[in-house]
Amino acid sequence: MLANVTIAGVASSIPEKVVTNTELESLVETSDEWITKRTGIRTRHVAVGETAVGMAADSAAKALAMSGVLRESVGLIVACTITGEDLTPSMASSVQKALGIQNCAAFDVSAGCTGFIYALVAAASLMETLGAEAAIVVASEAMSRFTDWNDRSTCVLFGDGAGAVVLRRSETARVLYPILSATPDTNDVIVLRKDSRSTPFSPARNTATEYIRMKGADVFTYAVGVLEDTLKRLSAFCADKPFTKVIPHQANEKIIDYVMRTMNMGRDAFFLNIASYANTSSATIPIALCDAWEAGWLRQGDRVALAGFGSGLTSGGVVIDWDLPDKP
Amino acid sequence: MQEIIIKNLMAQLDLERDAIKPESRFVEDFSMDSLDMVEMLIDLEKETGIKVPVEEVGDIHTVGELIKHLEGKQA
Repeated sequence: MLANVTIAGVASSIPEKVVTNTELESLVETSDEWITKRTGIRTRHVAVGETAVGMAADSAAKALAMSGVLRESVGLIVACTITGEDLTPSMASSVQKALGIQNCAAFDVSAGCTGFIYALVAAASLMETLGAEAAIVVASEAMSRFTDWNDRSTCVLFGDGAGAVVLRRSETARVLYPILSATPDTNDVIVLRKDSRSTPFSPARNTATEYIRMKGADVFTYAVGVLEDTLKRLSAFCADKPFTKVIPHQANEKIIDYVMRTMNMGRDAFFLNIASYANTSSATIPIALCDAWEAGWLRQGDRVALAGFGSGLTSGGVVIDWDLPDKP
Repeated sequence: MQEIIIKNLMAQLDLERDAIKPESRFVEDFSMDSLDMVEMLIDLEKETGIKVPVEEVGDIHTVGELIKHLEGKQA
């Protein structure tokens, strides 16, 4: 059961360096036209000095400052990442340290690109269980470090960045209708394997540094199916007060275009910023949430659906009654 | 089957009916890429219940070949 919570703060942290499609032409056989037509991506931000943990802490600190929630009131930090620098401590623990929060629960969630939805639902549920007054949910990815820059089919797709929200208890529930789902990836359509080190008792399975691998057509088929299904289920849940806006995981504009068409929803109902950031995995939704609010697209009183899908194969969605005052 | 495929292509690619012929080639004539093909097959599966696995997409180059492929699976 979710606690009655509202989103009280939102922020993002984006690496300074921008890499254009044209710049990628010098790395692999591709073109700006090819990438734009097939993905909707024009640029991506790539971490140079930044780290996934650092971006997580930066976005979380900004969201907390914006929310007005005191550090002592934060009872929980849930981070999600597939590209964090450390296996331990968790990214959430590193964010806790960076923010100087002395006592709270902190842990990471790994659910591929659906990570933020999983983390958001986990946080809102645990706030009820733990009696927490506020929670930080942060997604941060340094995808560029796990991207094969010689593979033209994947290197054009990803970018780096982080986004965070602060959840605060409220009289009315404003995070609603959680859906979390997963189906076995029997065909290994999205995989990022860790290297395995040898021990005195077993040889290493693979000592090479691995990169993210995807089977594009299979991913597309999975993505359009679950995105449409998630949005239809969310629609059914809130038939009395339908959502009018959607912030989907930004993996490929074609996936979103397809669902717009099959859901018979207009383009203005979907927020897209994939052109600027590419696919930042679990961070796309909170970054988009932040951009949508800052751009004035997301207004106080809006009912917005968040929907994601990713490796696992995971998927999920949630409805938000947006309550932050409009950006001046 | 031909009628279903033509209607789907008209909707997906915003094409006029006259532009779609059995000999029309998906890549060369309609500028479709692999994801467009997958999208078309998902739509057709919804309508006909006939599933075309991704690995079979490479064998289908023209509208006529697609009609034959789906009719073969339907039989």
